[in-house]
Amino acid sequence: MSYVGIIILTVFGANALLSYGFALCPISRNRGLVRLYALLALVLVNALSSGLLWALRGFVLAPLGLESLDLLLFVLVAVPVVRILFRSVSERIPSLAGLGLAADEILVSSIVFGIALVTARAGYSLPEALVASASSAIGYWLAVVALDALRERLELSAIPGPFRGAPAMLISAGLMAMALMGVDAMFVRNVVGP
Amino acid sequence: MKSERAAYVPNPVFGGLLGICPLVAAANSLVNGFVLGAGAALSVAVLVAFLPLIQGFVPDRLRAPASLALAAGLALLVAAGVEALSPAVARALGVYLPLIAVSCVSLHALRRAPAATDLMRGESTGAFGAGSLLVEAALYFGAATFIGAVRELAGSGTLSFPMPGSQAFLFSLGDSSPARLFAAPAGGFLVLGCLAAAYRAILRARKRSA
Repeated sequence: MSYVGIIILTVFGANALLSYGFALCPISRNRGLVRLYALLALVLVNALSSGLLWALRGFVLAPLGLESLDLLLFVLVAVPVVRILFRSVSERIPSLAGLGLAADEILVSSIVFGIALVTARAGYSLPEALVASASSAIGYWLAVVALDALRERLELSAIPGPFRGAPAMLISAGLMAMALMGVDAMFVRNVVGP
Repeated sequence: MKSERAAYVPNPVFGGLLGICPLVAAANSLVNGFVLGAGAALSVAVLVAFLPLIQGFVPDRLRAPASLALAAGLALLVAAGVEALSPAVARALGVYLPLIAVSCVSLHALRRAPAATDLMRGESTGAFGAGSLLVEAALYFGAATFIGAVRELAGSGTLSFPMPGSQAFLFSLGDSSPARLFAAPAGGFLVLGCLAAAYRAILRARKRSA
């Protein structure tokens, strides 16, 4: 599939939040996720982590036939490397301190682990894996921003008591997911070509 | 005066919305919900048992990575066990089995597991001691199985009971025309939203009658 196809598919059809349900718990608590710093951190952390996991799987685990241990190696190697990298960048450039904090917050969550595992196991090449993980992060952020805007409107609406808050937000997310169900790999191939 | 009443533990799924990611996407049948719930509960139980040892023997700086590595190792063991017992279920759950390591229920256990000394004294450091974490894990298992059963009944008109081997024991409701939407992630969101609202309504009704 072309890079444009991968981007459309991972942002809409295989959205990290609405199709995979990754990092669903924090969106009801962490409102900082809608900030631009969070988007930048999501894209950079996901692309770096996925690239590292891709390399670890391809060059270390695959020759030994131990691909099923990818999660353990990811925790032991990729997570510390990404954490140290972001900490050192934010220490050297104080204006990027917010980025370091945001990266630290999202690093150990199912959004980073999930996207890294899905892209590493999908059989992509390295550039494709980087594009897929970065666009997955953008898709996740767009869904979070849309849900946050919906939540603000829901807070002002007259809805039955038990549905107020998280239940209404989950049902809204379900309706959004339903709207995106038609965007699958076949649809994307038909639109942008193979 | 010290209260003798046990601490109230809200349902982690319907009350706290903890660990709902795999339930929305992958718990679309009773057997999938059962396996996800059992894997997460087992993982929390082992973490509660072993984290005090890590807190006792591993230096402060390495505690967080060591705890996370323990959780990842456990999740991989669960995934390997499911693969050995039922390859079809392991394929259906895919990436969600290893992701048990960073599910909110496991992360909650990693953050709240009591210190070794408190465990030895039979005390807990806060509202969430070892006992509360185990109760939470059991409630998570029940909720995951229930969500899987509801989604499978609504989405496929069947109930698949967990059995070792490649095939689950399937109970069919006959000639029903199920709403396939409930087996998809979109249906997972809808079912979870409705069940969370029902849970809140029951809690409110109980409070009013008390």
